[in-house]
Amino acid sequence: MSLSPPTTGERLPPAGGPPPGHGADRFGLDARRAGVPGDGRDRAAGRHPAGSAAALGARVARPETTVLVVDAVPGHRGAAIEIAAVATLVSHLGVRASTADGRDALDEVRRTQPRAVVLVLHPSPEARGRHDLWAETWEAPARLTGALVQGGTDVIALSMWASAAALAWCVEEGALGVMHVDQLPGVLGTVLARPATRHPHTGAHAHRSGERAPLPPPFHTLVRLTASERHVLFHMTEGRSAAEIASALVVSVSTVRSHIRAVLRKLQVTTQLAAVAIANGIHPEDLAAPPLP
Amino acid sequence: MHPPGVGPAEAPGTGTGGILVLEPYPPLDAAPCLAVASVVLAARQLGSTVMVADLCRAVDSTRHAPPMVAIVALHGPTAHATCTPERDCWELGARITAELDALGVEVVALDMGAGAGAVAACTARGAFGLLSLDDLGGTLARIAAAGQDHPPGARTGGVGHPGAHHRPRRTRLERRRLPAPFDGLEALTGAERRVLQYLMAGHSTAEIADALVVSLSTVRSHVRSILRKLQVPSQLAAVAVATGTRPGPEAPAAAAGRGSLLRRRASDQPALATGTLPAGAPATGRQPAHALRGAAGRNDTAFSHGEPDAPPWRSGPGLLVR
Repeated sequence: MSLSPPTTGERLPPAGGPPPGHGADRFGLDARRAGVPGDGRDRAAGRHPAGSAAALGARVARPETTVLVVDAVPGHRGAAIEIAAVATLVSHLGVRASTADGRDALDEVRRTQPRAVVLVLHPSPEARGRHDLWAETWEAPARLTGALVQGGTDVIALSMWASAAALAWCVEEGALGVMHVDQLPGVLGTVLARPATRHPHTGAHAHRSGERAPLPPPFHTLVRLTASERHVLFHMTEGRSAAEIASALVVSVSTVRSHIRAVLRKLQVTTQLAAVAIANGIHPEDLAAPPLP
Repeated sequence: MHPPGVGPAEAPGTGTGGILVLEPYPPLDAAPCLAVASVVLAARQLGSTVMVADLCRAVDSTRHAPPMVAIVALHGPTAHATCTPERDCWELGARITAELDALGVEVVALDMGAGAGAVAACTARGAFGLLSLDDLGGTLARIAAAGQDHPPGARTGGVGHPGAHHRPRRTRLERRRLPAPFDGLEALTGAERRVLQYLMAGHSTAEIADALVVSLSTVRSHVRSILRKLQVPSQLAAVAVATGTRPGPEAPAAAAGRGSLLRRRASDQPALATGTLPAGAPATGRQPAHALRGAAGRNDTAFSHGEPDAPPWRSGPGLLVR
């Protein structure tokens, strides 16, 4: 299987099966891996993500293909390194990658007409405990997704340990949600393998609403919340009681309680703790049952 | 197009004075997690020799090439690495921090999404705590500067590490403490940390009692002491503190521009806001990592180098607070 030359000067993973350490190659890390004798053995155990870089390289290595990597929460935290790392990962898949700030994303998309946008959601330490910033960290990515999808661009929303709620709302707006970066190569491959059908008049990619993929359970339940319920859920993740939420939102406590009940019902949980865990993107089974030492 | 600092790997250095980036969910699979890769990129931008290992192999790795600093990139579980007992990054992080600390390797616990609780588990054992990758440059510069103040050979701790005699003497007073809620998080016992992790995953006290095979009243008493130590009224608030979304009682939201790293000693609190950003940088907003390059020395006033001869027990958890 032959690959087109990589457009970025980076090494492409060799086709024909992942050799040990192929994943490290994509970051140029192999030469720097701490030299512990024999540490390559257990890596050959085959625990590679389904869409491994080598498998994908054959499918998507088209030099003209461009993907725009967008910082979904700009201005709060210099996530430049994470964005650069995602762009590097994408470029190692043989796809031309460029980066943009969320605020410039729409202009950049119009200018460069990328094949897809990878919207990177990340936690924002500055927004912690600041209600006034919640809309930007939780809602801005969804708004941007909506605008991009309306314009006919394929959007992949990637959560770099941001809240699952923010990711779910991007999915609601038509993005493909990726909860772990390990799954990005596979999803990107799926998106890029599709024919780039453009609208005959506008030139925009046709919107494929039928191809939305829900988030894995239990996070798929996050998409059905109303705006008020999202507000309440956000305050719950910050540990506020119903009374505190009521005073923050300037509504009555009973209104807040009814919103909380609605959130719990829609998330199919019985406690606020469980609802917050889902919003934070923590799967109950992420924690196996360890015995106490 | 081509992200800075992502060129082909340079020739491996001697390793001494380099940076060891640790993946918290061992064993390190073929693909290092992107969080780890991000840290590697950031560290390379700072011009350092960078190595990667997972927490299980951290100590072995230092034998081959003793690093100056080990960075634990505390990210959440990935798709194929959940938090099993062997992979519990809170406990592993704490244990490895203590081991590396004993070997004279400075440990930086960096929150990449695992939450404040995971960071606190490490800082309780002597690690530096960092809430944002942005602050990495300044922190590494300070650690390096502190290493130069204590030339090689000055180390007195007789730890049986092959590279120990090369190591600069540890400067304990450089230890930082994270904002107020971390006081409580650092003070948690192992059992309380475990219960808090279950609460974060949304489990009820009854489910925790089942999972840990202890009585309900034991779990309840752990929960009570968690709430007391974190000074919060509810389990929901305790989870928010452990996730890092709730500011502590002494760190009001008004301190938004606050530094992500604070001093370990309460008496040094005034220095906290100056310790994170280069001089003249805005307190909030984007702070590209490369802007921090060469920040060494500019913020030296934020440090005190006092008590260099503090006995080893001074770095223990009991000393942390107050």
